[in-house]
Amino acid sequence: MYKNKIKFTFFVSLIALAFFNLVSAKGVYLEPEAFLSGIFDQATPEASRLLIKGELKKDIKQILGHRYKTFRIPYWQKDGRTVWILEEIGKELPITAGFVVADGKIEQFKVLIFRESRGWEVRNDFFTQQFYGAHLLPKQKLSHHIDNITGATMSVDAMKKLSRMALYLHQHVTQQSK
Amino acid sequence: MKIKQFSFGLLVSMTMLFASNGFASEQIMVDKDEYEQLKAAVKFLMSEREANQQAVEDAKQAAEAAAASAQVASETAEEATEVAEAAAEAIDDQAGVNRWFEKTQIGGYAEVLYNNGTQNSDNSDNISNELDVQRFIFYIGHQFTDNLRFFSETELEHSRAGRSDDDPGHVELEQAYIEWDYAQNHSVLAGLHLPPVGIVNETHEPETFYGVERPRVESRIIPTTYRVIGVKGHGQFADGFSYDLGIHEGLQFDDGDLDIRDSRQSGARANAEALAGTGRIKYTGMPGLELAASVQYQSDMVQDEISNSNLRRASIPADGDIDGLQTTLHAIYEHGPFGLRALYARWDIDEDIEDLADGAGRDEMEGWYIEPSWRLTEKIGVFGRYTLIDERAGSNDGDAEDSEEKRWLFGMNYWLHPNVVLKADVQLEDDDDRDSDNDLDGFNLGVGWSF
Repeated sequence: MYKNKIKFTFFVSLIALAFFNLVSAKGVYLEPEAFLSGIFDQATPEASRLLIKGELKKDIKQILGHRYKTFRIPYWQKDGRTVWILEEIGKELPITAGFVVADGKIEQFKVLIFRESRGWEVRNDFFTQQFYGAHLLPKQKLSHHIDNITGATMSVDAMKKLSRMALYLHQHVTQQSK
Repeated sequence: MKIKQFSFGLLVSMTMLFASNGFASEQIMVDKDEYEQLKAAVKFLMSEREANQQAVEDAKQAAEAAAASAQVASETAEEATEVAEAAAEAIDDQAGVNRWFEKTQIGGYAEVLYNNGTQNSDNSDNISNELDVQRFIFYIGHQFTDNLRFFSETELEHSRAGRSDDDPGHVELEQAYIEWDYAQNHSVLAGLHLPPVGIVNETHEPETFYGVERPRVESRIIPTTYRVIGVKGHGQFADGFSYDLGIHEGLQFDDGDLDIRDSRQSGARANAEALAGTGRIKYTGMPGLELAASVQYQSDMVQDEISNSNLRRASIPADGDIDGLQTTLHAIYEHGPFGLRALYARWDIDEDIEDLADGAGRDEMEGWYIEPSWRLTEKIGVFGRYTLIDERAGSNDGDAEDSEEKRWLFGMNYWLHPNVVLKADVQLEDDDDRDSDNDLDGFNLGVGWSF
């Protein structure tokens, strides 16, 4: 009796799976270029490059817990907004995320490329929208509490670090241009 | 007339003489010494003027020279900047090159424990007072391409593995598989992997759960760490939903031991007479919430070894299969400092198992736990856990009588670092088949880390 029930369930599951496979599909991957085009309405300004050195390097190391992977970070700036495309390792592989910062707050945040087999939930809007409006507190702490995702703790931590880094970098470039 | 002309001329001459004297500077009468002093002063001022003019000229030349040097320095700095820019671009370009070490990841985790359990009896066999390296795991993975990867985990348990009875540990391969992202949001893996059952079977780094030991229900009923050789598909669909579906080796009851945990084959020349299938649906569409349900079916948990004299009884037909169905449900909720975990797991096994040696009540095995927790600070969390397990829930006769085990656990975690945790807990047991004096109560301490 068990065998028949389970075979049936298995079969139904396979059919359901095939169906879901056909309709799934909201592509959550977003190429960085497409992200920028969406932000700047097809008129993406030329990228500037921020050299990480001195106090900047020290503060970034404090935020991430290690040096950033490159020593120049590209960014795009227009009308007081800055856009950053940053990478940080979750558990094993880097996650690429895009941030738009305006008035010292996160205006938009998208996970652009997610390479790991677990923790993919950080790509969902329900997670990224928690960051909207967040700003930096003293000691580069994030103003908003971010709810964790079970099984994705390291991916969640990586996104929190990158959001703090984006806010800090925005602060740095906008103060310099004053 | 002539006198008048002479007088007029004299008058004009004198007038002109006085007039010219009026345009001339007033004559100052000085004596010779004063004159010489004035002359010397003028001479000095003239020489100073000449010296100043020379100094100005020298300064002008020096400024011109400095300007020239600054120009050279500026040009040199510009060249240096261009060289640095070129080097940076080269490095950036090189970063895009797939060097093997950039695509290879290493890591691991470990747990070191102290168990102190005491019974209020003289039965020294049930007294636990032990230090142990519970497990030491090393993992390595490699990304062949963006959508093809390898992952492995190797484990050493109890510090020392060997053939002697004095070597309580063992070295095991816990995972070794290839995973391929064949479509966006969908992947398939093949090899030794962890089936998607329970909470800690897939995610069990020490800093991710409360308690020195893993939840007993999951260790005994799931049974974690449960690993199998097989093929598994995984993917996401709709908002927040994911699925897992796999076919893999099954459990094997053997040598009269019908303990679920001891029936794991773990990919070690696993008997594949009867495979198993596992499916799971998981929902993580709300911040902090995870809901999941899994089902595993195996057509013959004896792996066609019914002829094994240790297992067989006369009443079992030679071609009899003992099938089994595992069901798990779990919920996790975290919001702010508050956390809650709850899990239920059961096995429904062919009732013919009761006719096997040690089979009393084994046609049903179940367990559940509930675990509220509170994060006092970023580094300290406290928890409580109530656990109920019954591995002979199918009946209450003979060996299955009063088979429920209940346990209370209270404790805390202290995260020195997000990946390093100190743990302490107190356990209070209440086993129905033992009187309270024989329940194993005690405390446990542990340190765990992952990287």
